Amino acid sequence: MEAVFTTVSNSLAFALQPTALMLVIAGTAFGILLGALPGITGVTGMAIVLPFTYNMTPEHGIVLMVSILVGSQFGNSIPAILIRTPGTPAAVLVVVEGYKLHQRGEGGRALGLSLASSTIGQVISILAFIAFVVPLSRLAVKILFPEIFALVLLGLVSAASLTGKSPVKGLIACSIGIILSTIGPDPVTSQPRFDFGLLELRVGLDIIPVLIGLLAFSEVFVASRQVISFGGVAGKLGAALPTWSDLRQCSLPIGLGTVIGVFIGALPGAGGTIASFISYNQARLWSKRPDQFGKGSIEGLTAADSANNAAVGGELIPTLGLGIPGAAGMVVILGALMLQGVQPGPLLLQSRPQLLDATFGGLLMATLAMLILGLLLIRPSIRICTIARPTVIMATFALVVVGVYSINWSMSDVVVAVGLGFVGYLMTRYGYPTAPAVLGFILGGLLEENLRRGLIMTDGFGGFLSRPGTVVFLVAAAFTAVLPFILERSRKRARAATTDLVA
Amino acid sequence: MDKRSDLALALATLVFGAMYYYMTDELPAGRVQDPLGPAWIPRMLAILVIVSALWIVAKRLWQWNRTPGWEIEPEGETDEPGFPASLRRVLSMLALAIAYVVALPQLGFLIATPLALGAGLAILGTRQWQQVLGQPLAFTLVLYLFFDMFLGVGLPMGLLEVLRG
Repeated sequence: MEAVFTTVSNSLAFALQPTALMLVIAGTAFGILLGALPGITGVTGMAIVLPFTYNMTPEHGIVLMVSILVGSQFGNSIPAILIRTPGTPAAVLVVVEGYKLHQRGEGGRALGLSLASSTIGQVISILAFIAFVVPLSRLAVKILFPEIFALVLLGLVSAASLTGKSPVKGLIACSIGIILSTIGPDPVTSQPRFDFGLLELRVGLDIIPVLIGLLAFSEVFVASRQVISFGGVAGKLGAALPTWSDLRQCSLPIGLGTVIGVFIGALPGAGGTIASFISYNQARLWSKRPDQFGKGSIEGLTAADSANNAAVGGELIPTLGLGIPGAAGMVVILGALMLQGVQPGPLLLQSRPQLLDATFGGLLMATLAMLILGLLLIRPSIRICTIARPTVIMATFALVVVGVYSINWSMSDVVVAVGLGFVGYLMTRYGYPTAPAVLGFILGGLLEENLRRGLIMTDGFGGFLSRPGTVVFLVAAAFTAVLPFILERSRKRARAATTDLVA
Repeated sequence: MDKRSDLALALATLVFGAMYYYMTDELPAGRVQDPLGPAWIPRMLAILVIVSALWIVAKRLWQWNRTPGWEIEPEGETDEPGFPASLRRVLSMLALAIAYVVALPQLGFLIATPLALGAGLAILGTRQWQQVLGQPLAFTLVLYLFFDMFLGVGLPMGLLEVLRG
């Protein structure tokens, strides 16, 4: 209890400093506007800003990244409600309900409720974050090489199996990421591997080109597929704001959404999108007006939105507690930390405990900023929704190239980013999720190093596998690997059963 | 998604896995202290990729005749309905990106970037010439001022190297 209090006071002390505060405000505003921009997601925006954090301390870097993430979670709702375009897949349900509300002239009510549920979901998830991350990181202190290996393996398998529709493709994606990380010096012997005799590859691939290539540049290519034009925002924004009875009606969906969001978010691989769908379905089951769902239900809207935002806090738990990020946004945050030399993995908080205060403080202030700026920026965001997509795409193109170049002043970095960008395009189109690939790249070295050092330490496999922690994590990893297949089986059986009933 | 493309991609992945495995031959074996050595994880990864790719290939072929036509249930990101999608546009963007990367050191940032951005806007369907000319120039200037002047990143100057003085 006292530890929590100290953390809270330290965090606020950090976040209220002028630099941090400026970053929070700038980041949140940027995030909101970014969420409103058509054609690119919040993750891409974070990836674009990533090179800029080079000159900041890790604490300031994470504050900026977290603020952008928080802001974009609300920003996504704006085009979703007003022009029927989800800023990210997670906002799909906001489109379903929110746009209907806007068509009825209740756009203001929808936006207001979106903001309210986002804020509430965020705040509660931050508290959960603080409650869980501290004991989790304490746990991490006790583990050594073999446990670290098993834990990292669990995180990777989890992300690979649970992201996307095909766990097998997820596995391939993750493996490719790890394969990319094997280019360069061997983690134990330092001998060069897979360098093809090229000097540039002798030191391995840098995190920035790989991350930006797979996550951001790929989006440029994906967005190029279609020429999408908008006629503008249909109808005026209904000025009516949500009422207190609205909020009371939505208290159950928001509560459900928050809890679901935190738990699902904490699982590596599952994130805001899955959380919002589960929360939406649960809200429909518990609702007194289930027939409203699909026709402009404020309960559905708030359930999905609060889950989405609560997932941010949930996702931060393994990201900081174990140094193992589970979602694309978290991967970018970890990338920003790695740029500063912070090592990923379970010893992350140990190596830099100030990061916890910075994250917590940043989250709190960013949530507050989102509430205030959200209200102020709705009008400008509406204008931004309608910026032509080609402009946004080419701006992203240019920013990404310059950003990648600016790290090492190296054109070969840019070549890697472009090349992986196209690979990322193919991956995105055919169901090989890119976030696990980047995760594999980030954690691959850690995986291999801890395996081999662990074996050296325990003098072989016998000692390695007799360690209880290691075995637990390895079994969990094996279970997570087969979980999607078990779920698919039971889903098929349920479907067959209902068809029998109907027939 | 087109089942032919999915199959082709899976086969390409298979080949990639095999090539990667082949490359691990050059790596030294483990020593007593370090029983796995530099080749073990790469080999495991290669095997994982090969087996997984085979699974996908097998699954596609097994279900090949079950689904009529070329379209099957998409597993990745799909196009937004109502707007035509074009692979050619994507490949044009790729060609543009490659050309830009090649030209950047030669022509320099201030020349290559507006050209690339303008070409990109045109590929993506911008029709008004004021936008195709104006936006790239303006944005290049902003980027130059911000990155080169303000942040001090030495953007390649190429032909305009004299400006550096």
